[in-house]
Amino acid sequence: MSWWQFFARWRSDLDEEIEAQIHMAVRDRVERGVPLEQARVAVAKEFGNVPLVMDVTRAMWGWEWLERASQDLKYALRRLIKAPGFTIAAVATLALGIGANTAIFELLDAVLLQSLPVKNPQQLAEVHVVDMDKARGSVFSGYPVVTNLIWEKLREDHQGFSGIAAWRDTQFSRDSGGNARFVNGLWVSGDFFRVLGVPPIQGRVFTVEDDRRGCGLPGAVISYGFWQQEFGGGPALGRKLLLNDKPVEVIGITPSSFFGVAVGRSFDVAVPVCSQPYRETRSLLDSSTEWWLSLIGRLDPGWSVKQVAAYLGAISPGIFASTLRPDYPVESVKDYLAMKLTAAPSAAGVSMLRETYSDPLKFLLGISGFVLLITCANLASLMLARTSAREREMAVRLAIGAGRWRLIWQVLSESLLLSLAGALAGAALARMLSHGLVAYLNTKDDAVTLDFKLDCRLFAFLLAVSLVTCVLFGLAPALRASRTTPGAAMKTGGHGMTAGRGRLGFRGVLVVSQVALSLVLLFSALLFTESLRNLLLNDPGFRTDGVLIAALDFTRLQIPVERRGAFQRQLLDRIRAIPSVDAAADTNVVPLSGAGWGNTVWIDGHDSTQRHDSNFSAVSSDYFKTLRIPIVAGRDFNDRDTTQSPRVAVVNETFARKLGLGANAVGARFWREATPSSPEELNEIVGVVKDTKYRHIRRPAGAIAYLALSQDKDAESTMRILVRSGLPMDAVEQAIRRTIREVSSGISFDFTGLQEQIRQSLLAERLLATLSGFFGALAVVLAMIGLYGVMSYTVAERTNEIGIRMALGAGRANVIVMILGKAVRMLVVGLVLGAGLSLAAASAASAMLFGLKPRDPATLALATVLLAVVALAASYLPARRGSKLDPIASLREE
Amino acid sequence: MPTSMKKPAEKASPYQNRIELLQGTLDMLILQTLQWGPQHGYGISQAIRTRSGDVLQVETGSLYPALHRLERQGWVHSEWKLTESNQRARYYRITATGKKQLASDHGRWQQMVEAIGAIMGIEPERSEP
Repeated sequence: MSWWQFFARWRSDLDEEIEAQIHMAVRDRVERGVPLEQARVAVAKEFGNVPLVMDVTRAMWGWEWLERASQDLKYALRRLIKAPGFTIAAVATLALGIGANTAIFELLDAVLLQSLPVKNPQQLAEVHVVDMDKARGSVFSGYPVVTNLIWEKLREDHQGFSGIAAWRDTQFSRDSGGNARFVNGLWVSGDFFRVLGVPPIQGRVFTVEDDRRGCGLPGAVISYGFWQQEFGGGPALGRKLLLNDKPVEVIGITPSSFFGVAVGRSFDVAVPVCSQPYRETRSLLDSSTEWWLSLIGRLDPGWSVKQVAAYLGAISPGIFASTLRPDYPVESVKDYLAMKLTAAPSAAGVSMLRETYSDPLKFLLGISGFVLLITCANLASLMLARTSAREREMAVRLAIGAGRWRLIWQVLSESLLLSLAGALAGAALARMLSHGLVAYLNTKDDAVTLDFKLDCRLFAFLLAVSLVTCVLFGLAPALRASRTTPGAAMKTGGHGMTAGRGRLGFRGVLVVSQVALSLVLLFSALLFTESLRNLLLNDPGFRTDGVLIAALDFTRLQIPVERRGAFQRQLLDRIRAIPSVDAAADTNVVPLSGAGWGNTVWIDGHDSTQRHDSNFSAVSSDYFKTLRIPIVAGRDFNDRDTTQSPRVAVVNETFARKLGLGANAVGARFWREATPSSPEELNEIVGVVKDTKYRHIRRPAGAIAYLALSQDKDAESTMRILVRSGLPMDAVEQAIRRTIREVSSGISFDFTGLQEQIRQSLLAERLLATLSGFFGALAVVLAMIGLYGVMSYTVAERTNEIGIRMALGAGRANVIVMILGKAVRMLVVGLVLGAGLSLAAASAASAMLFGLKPRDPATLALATVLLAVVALAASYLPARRGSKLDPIASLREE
Repeated sequence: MPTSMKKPAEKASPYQNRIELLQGTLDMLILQTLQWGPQHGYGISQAIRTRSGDVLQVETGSLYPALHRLERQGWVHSEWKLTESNQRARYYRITATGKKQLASDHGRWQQMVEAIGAIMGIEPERSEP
């Protein structure tokens, strides 16, 4: 700025200097007796052209280029302001193209490409079990996991790694009854922060000494974000936090850049692995069936991931042999001993988001690339139209002595201004869009935090693309115009009779490609929308509306395990007694929540090698009534099914079919395999119900066996109660809250609607449908603008021709048909090309669709018709304007 | 390029041509004038005019470009001051390098006058600047 001020001051200095001189010259003359007026005239004569003198003087400093550039920029700005329609269209087009691309890329970058914010992330590798499917017991995470025993072995022998660490993300409760409040916790091994190379910004991080068996509660390291949120950035070291009702002291704070190891999920509080038994009801440290720790290691210089993987493979038999405990199901021991560990690069951290959103995001990036192409085409035709319209003006300027390069530079400065304005608006839009995207991905239970960076390289690339488009399509006509003989341009510059047809050729190509690309986008938008609709309308076999999920936790009440069952039933009865509650049931697996439980089963009396896989769910009575699952045969669970009575089960139709039970399933008995917590069990089938979907709405219904919760000897201190009511969710929620508080203030609770939960499980699908819908609409609008522009241009150009035709007797309808004919030709070519492209592109989307084929002809037809109607409407307006021309006036215009 | 094209006229100025003619000489005259003390543009042109007996009239269109050129070369330095009649004006002052330049210009001019004089057959006369 100061440089510019200097320049401005220098300019006014010269003005003043010359003015002073004129003043003195006049005064001299007046003093010599010349009358004032005469003196003035004489001085003016002597001075000649003052602005020219100033120009030449300024040129002495070699700065005239700056002055000319600023003049041209000012001029360009004035011209743009004078044509607000064009300017807004161009800037909006650019902003949308640039903004959408930047936002999608930022998201893709944050989820897929960025490395972990730690020291030398490329040296990091994760360790996991090759054949995890065979593992028995509880698997705590979608991320690769091992048991604590395996981790302790690897901690002793981690050849190839300079350091190795274990972690698990978890939630710690922060309430003391009432509304559940959680913080994102992290179990970490003592070496975790050192291995990752994350230094504390205050206090200290854990050391190996902090993470020894029997450590108790040795303190917590908190994240920067949590520090700000909880302590407002004030003194935090030494302060106590209550996690799962246990106090713990803050010993250190990590830097703001460090979010943990799992991309998309930030941690609040980290505590050592050794404190797990002191913080939770059950110790996970000595079990060979609790798979809960994820491993990450830093490679030794000189070791490759491959070498480490080979070494891990070699030591695996020893590790698995020494970590086997009696709790492991006997029949699976052979599989356990045959397991192998391996290593994989982990520079970008691990991410559930990545697996879920990788394909949709790549597809969206492709789509936004298409949008950019359409944007460029649109911009190109806008610039072409504008510059072509200036040909006459440029001819005049040339004729009166303007320099050719000066004229070209003027066109260029307009392009520059447009590109810059578009890019700035695009950057602002990208900010908004990317925040919107994250907000979209955020759900109540699953807070997503992503580290967005405005990628300067990407932004520069997009700016360059828009600049090149503007300059290219602004410059080409400018060059041509500046090369035409002024005389010739003046002659044809008006509304010629035949001129301009050739030029539409290129604009026609632009329109055709716009239409083609728009069809692809519209088609994919419709595909994804329809797919989402299929998913939402898909019948899971039960009624999802009007069901509230109440998650209760009464751990705090410390009820002994043998009395928990009774307490649960009592609590459930209290809820059932609420007047607005139609039905309520408890389950350990909420359907379509993503949770699941599977075991193998076989018919009693059959060979136990004839095993089948089945899903399981432990439910209370009224479960089927609550979800409106029809009971086909037999009965529901009832009060007579107790821990003392013979074990009973209700199965679905697929289960009966799979095990070959046919129509008389009731009364049949099946075995469930041994699990870490229970031996083989014989169950008698007392009822058969209709099929329902289990884990995810995308998957077809499979075999499900329902067991009675009332027969479970190891009742938990948590409940997931499904409540059906005709009242609005909020009202029921209030009533349940009151009831639970009446029982005890130490119970914490959390509510979600079943439908809400299903909607959240379809996040990726919704993201795709919404964004592709947005882009599809955008593409259609851009295509409309493009076609409208070209047709208006044609009509303006053919005014004389139309006038003559009408003078010779052509009717309005003839004129409309004549003009629309041209639009239809472009449209048909564009649609045919677009249909071909769409079919080619659709196969890439097949995996992301539900309930329809990627080459769905009905959808393609719908997209084509939709686009055709919109495009015809856009070209009808100019055509109608053409037909309304007054023949006499249009001929006189020449 | 089509032959019929009319070459766009470059922005040509009659003043610029005259500067070309006087180049060097005008610079020398200005520097010489400033030898006698700081002066503003109008004063310089008046000085040259009176000293040359009204023969040399420096036009504004030549004077200011020349002054600014000299300033850019660092041969003169300028500052705003008030004239005796309380008029704000930019005063130019010769710098040390300007003095050096004047000496060398002067020498060259002398040589030139002698050389031209020899050709024209006129006895060189020591003329007071």
